[in-house]
Amino acid sequence: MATQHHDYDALPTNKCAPSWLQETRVILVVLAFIFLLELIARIIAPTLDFDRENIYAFPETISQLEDAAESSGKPKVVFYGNSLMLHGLDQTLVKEELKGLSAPDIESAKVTPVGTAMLDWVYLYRRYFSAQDSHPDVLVVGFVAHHIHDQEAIKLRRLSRHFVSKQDLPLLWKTDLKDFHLITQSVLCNISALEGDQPEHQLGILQTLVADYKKGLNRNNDLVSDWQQRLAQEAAQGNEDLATKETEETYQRMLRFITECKKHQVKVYFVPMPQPEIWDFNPEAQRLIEAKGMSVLDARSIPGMTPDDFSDGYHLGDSGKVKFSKWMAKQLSQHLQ
Amino acid sequence: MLLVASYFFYSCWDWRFLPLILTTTLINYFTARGIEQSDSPSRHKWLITVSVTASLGMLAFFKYWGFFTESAAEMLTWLGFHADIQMLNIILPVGISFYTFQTMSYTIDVYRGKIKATRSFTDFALYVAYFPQLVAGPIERSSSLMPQITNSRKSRPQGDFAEGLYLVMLGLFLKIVVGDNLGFIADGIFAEDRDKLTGTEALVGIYCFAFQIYGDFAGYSSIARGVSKWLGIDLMTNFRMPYLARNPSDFWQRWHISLSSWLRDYLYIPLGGNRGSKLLVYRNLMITMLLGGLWHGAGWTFLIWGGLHGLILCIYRALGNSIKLPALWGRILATVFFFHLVCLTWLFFRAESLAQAWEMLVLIFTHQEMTPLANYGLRMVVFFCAPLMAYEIWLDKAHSLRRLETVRWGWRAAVYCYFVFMLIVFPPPVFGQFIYFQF
Repeated sequence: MATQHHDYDALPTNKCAPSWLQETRVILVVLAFIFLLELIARIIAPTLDFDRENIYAFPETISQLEDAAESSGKPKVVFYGNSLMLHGLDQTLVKEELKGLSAPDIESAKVTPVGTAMLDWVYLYRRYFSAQDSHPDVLVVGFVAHHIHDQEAIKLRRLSRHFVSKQDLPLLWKTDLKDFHLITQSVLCNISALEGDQPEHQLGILQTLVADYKKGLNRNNDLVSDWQQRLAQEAAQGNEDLATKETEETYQRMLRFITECKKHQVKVYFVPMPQPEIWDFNPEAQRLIEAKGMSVLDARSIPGMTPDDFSDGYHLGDSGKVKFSKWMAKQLSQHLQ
Repeated sequence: MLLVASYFFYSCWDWRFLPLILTTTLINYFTARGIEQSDSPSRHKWLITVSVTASLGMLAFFKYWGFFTESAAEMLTWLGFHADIQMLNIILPVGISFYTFQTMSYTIDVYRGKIKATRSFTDFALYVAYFPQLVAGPIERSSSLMPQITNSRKSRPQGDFAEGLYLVMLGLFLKIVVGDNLGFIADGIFAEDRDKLTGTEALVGIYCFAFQIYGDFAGYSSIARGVSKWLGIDLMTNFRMPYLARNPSDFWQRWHISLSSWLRDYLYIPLGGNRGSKLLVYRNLMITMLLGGLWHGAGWTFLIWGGLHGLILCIYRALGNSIKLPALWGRILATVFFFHLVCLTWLFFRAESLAQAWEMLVLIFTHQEMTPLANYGLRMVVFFCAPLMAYEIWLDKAHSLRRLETVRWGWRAAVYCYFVFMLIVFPPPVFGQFIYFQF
């Protein structure tokens, strides 16, 4: 133990100074600790939460779809998107409805990682479909307004870890990340489960240790976000160019997605999803989709759908799921003919 | 090489301000040389006046012009005059307060005959622009830094690498884990509408800010010192467990030591220091602390912050010796009480306006209510700071900042593993700019 001495910055004697050998040992222990953490992170990753389970099952889901379609000869339909499509569509019901409508039968799968948007879908498609050379005949993409434009924030850790393949990292840096810090982070997240799944580890620990963590965090996030918006508005005041630029939506990511699908002769149906209130679908997005030879199946206003059909004001509940699935089957029956 | 690296580092922020730092360097180099080469006291006075006026003039222009003109306009309007003062939108050059004080201390020391003026312009330029401490200190003294720049750094004492590693690890932990995580909560609470805020939330917001500013600034200083250690240069300690201070005098020997000692040596003592009547000493304390507050930023909240610290120092000077507390519990009580007093001053430092500070202060005393936000904030403070404070108490008991280097290496490895775990698993939602870059 240290002897008492009152010069805060001095060691009791120079002999107390750690040697190179000691410090090398310290560094080796720290490195071993990091590897151990990484190992644990990799082991727990597939069962970390429902979403991870879902993501880790994609290769199997896609492979099963491929096998089923190969043996049955039916067209392959993939319902693609995020939690809106995940909770909003019942595949069994769609198939039953298709039978009832005397439409061609289908083999289907859902690829719907929660909280994702267009950029995730671009890389997800490249990693799980293009890289395996296993393409669906039809891709049905469910979304609401912010999911498809380029102004949607990138969730870099998740994107880099679960959707971008190693081969696609240079593409990500070239087209989507310009900042050195972000590029470094994307590499770290791609190669390390500890880095890539960090938000879930943090959430798990803090939810256990800190009462009201989620409530308090959400409240704090709202406050900071409002504050930043206020600051941005103040900065934009008197600068009309800035104010106008912020409201402009662009769709380069969506065009890349369409190009990728088109390259593999995949027909894409874009489905603006139902919400408790009808939302504005940018006509420019629709024009671009149609100009590229793809279609929009507008589900924003399904007859008979009411706000009670939503479980949480955003996702479809049980009754909404039925209505949407029936509607979807009807649309598919017309288009698959 | 280090000089080129330092200028490159500075120009990464904004290369347009390189001429400014060069001008400061040139003025102080030549005035110090002029003082050295002359035997005439009047010439010495003239040269030191030129140097100090130029340094403070540049600082005043870039940092305080907007504040003074705005305040003057407000005052004239309040008095009923039509004020049409031209406002300039001046960008504050990063680190200007730090390198201005550092160069001033050099020239003043040469003037006082404490050190010799250096002949080498590049050595002096490196003294001014040395990159690890250029933008946020510590504010080094020429008597300590110049010899290290001038002399060969071929042989270094054993343990420099270990100390550098410790300082960098601690600094990263303080900045990223403590400072940025709690800063995010403080930002939320200070942005809340006053009519929705409770006193408990306000109090938690202040605790968060207290540890944010400590983590942020002490973290920077620690990283700067650690990196510098590896480059073979010792920088001074800037923080010594400040929240374990038991009184204001103790606090200022623990918090931003390079600035408080600078103010003591170049302002407080020249003003008369502790000499003279009680009233004169109080006056000196108040002037020093008010200017210390103004050094931090051009705003009334900073002035009030400095004024409050001045007032606390005066009260302590008047009453300190008459208060006797029992040994251990007395020390604990004094530490907790003084921490809250410091927190009170941080409220003014962090608030966007005096009105906000006042409203939050009133809320703390009138509307205590535990909400999910307050509960979350408080527990996050405990989660991030309790291990840190326990560690600091352990250091303080041995009166050593380097106690960890003297224990078995396994303990050090365990502490570093904790730092690494926290850095990897608990990065902040948003990485914050270093607060002191703006000063």
